Amino acid sequence: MSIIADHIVYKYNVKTHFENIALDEVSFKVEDGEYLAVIGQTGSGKSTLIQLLNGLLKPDSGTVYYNGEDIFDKDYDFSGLRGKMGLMFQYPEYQLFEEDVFSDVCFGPQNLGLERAEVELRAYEALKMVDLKDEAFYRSPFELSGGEKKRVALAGILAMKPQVLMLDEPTAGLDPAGKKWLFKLLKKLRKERDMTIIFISHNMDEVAENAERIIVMDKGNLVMDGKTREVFSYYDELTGMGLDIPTSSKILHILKENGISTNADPVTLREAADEIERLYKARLH
Amino acid sequence: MSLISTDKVTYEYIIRDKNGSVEGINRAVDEVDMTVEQGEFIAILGSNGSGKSTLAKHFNALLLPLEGTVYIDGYDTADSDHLWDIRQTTGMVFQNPDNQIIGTLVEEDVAFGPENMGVKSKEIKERVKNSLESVGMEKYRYKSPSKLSGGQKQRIAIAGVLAMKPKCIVLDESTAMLDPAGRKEVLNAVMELNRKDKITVILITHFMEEVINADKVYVIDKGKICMSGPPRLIFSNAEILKEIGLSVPYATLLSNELRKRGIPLRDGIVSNEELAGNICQLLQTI
Amino acid sequence: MLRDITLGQFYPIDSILHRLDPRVKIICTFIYMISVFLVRDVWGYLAATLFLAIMIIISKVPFKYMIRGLKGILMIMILTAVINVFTTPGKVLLSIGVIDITLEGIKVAVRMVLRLIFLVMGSSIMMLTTTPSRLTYGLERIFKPLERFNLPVHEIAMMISIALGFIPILVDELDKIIKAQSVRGVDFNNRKLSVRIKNMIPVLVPLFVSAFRRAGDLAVAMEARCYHGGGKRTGINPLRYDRRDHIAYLVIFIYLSMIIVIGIIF
Repeated sequence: MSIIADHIVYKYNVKTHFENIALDEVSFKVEDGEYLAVIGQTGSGKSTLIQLLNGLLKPDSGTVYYNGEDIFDKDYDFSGLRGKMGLMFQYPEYQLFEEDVFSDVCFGPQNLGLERAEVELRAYEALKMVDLKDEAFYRSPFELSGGEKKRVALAGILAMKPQVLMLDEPTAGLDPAGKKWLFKLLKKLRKERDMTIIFISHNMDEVAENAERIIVMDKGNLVMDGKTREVFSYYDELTGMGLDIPTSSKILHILKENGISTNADPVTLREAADEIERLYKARLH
Repeated sequence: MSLISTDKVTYEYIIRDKNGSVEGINRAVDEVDMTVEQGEFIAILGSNGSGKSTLAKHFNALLLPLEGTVYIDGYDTADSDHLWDIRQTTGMVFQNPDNQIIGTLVEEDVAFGPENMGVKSKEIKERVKNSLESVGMEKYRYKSPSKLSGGQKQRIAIAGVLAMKPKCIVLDESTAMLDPAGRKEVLNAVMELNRKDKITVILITHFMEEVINADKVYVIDKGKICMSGPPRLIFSNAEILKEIGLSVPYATLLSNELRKRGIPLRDGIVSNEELAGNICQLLQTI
Repeated sequence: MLRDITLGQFYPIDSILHRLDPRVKIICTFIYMISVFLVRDVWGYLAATLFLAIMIIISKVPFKYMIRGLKGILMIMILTAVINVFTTPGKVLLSIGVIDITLEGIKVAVRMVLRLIFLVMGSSIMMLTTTPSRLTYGLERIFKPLERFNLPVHEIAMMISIALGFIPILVDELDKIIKAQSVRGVDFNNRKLSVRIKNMIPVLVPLFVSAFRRAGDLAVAMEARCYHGGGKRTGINPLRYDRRDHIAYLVIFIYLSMIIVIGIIF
């Protein structure tokens, strides 16, 4: 079971003066249960890419296979795909519309044609999953704080019980506590529901701490695809594209520039601490 | 005389239910005392819903305190005779770049403030030119703001404030919706204004790394100031910050971890360069 | 991208017409429109056509942009022509069943269609050579005297120009909302009317909520920048009549006199 992007080309404003290639022959494969981050500068095609993966946009050429089936085939069961692939946009305000939180979360499963009892059960479970307080269930979603809206929006997606969860800049606007909470939940979803997770982020520290694999987009091209540590070892290439790198790598890089020899490429805080500790103890003896 | 001083400022929001009856009262700002001197770079740090934004709107008389007083350059904000003097003294840049653009050309947008103040056309032109130069956007003078990036739009908004010749700029979470490149752009622009033109800056944010260079940080939680002082001092209280939904800069986090493992790093490390420098020093002196 | 939709039809080049004061262009276009209804015969139509042709040439805007506006009213033109051809009584040229085509009918139809073309192309020249913000500013200044009768001229102009700025943002947002709700299983491809109406709710509610929020934010941002109505506002590019503007008024006056004279003589 997998998602395969097969030579996707996507253009904006086809046949006008403004024709612009947003994605140029992008191919990759995501296996079930992977934890993948897509990084790249604003305008590099990240958002377009994940919108193509779940069929919100149609490629100009190339296609996407989900579990072996071409999702752009005319006979493909598109409504079935909606239940399997969830996508949360950056701003929860785009999807909240019902009178109260609970009804809003019911909206997705309802559209899947499930029975009322099942719909409500799923909505309840999803709201519990995002740690929303019970007293907020029947409040208007518009009265909630930014962080709470995000939880409700995510619950709305989770209630559809997707196999794949895609998130476009999920931590935008969240404070440190909110960010921590979100990644804890994603970890739990992977463990308990075996979900595939694909997220877009500009924060390299959260990418380093959480993702197992990274896809790097630059000007519509997929330029790197590999294990987190491996991708972040390309320090010069990434900074050359105007991308950030994890703070741990940055600190170790400064050490190297100052003549401290180390071959390690730590990307997480723990790894950096381990390496510095090793260097320190080696000097002590 | 301080540029800004607040005396036990309190502000409450009234929460109503669907039928309009009062359900509760939310004290967003709770007896806040603070002073800001001319030329300072002040940061106000707080988690989502801490009341930091509500407090910021008092510096421009967009909100008036329910109790207590706010003085801006000697004027009481409750005194409506000086409303326009106050708004001219402390300019504000808001969170959403799209929701504060008024003109259809960059030039028109920057001119909006001075036009409202009744400045003469010739001088407005001069001010627009200078303000755009200060934020490095003079090339875009005759462009449409809608085609610009988030960081550029916020720099235009800063130029719009500068054109009013303010003494102080308040950035009300102005970096929250930007990508890292845009955040850096905006931050560099205001730090430059603070350094070169001695403009007072009040930065409201929940990004720890942005406040490292501030002269003074106020940490606000549930409407109350729970800590204030230079960044180093603030970030030495990692536990308290964590409790209120905040954090410390990455370098501080890493140096705390290293110290826990018995590596004798010095206290008060906030930036990557400091940490690396301290480690180098340590390794070379062994 | 949707943001590239151009509002109004401004064509960004430099020409004498582009540089004219917007008030001049608005007033001259208005006078030209009146003149179109004054002409009655071949000579008059010739004068109006000639005047239009000269304006098109000196505007330097490619001709294909000029006729773009006509495409929108093609149906109206055809309809006008057909109705006039068949309903005007007079000398019968051709009879098809109960319908008579008269010479007078053809004359009236040609006249009406020509008038429509003049009206649309005349206003196109104005729109193509003036930015929407200059246009609103010009209108504001023309109607300024009405403020004495408590008409909020400045406020209306401000509203129009802000609305113009917000349209591309809201169009973009609409696209994102539709996508966000598609993900939640709304089938926007369903052609059934009842379904389509039902599908509008999850799109319109977030759109309205967002629009109100944006409006609120903008109001606060304007207030923070000392906005307090039109009273003592100044402008960065105030409208001031230049020599060329006086010449333009003179030209349109001569043109109008010619049209009137032609009408009297022939």
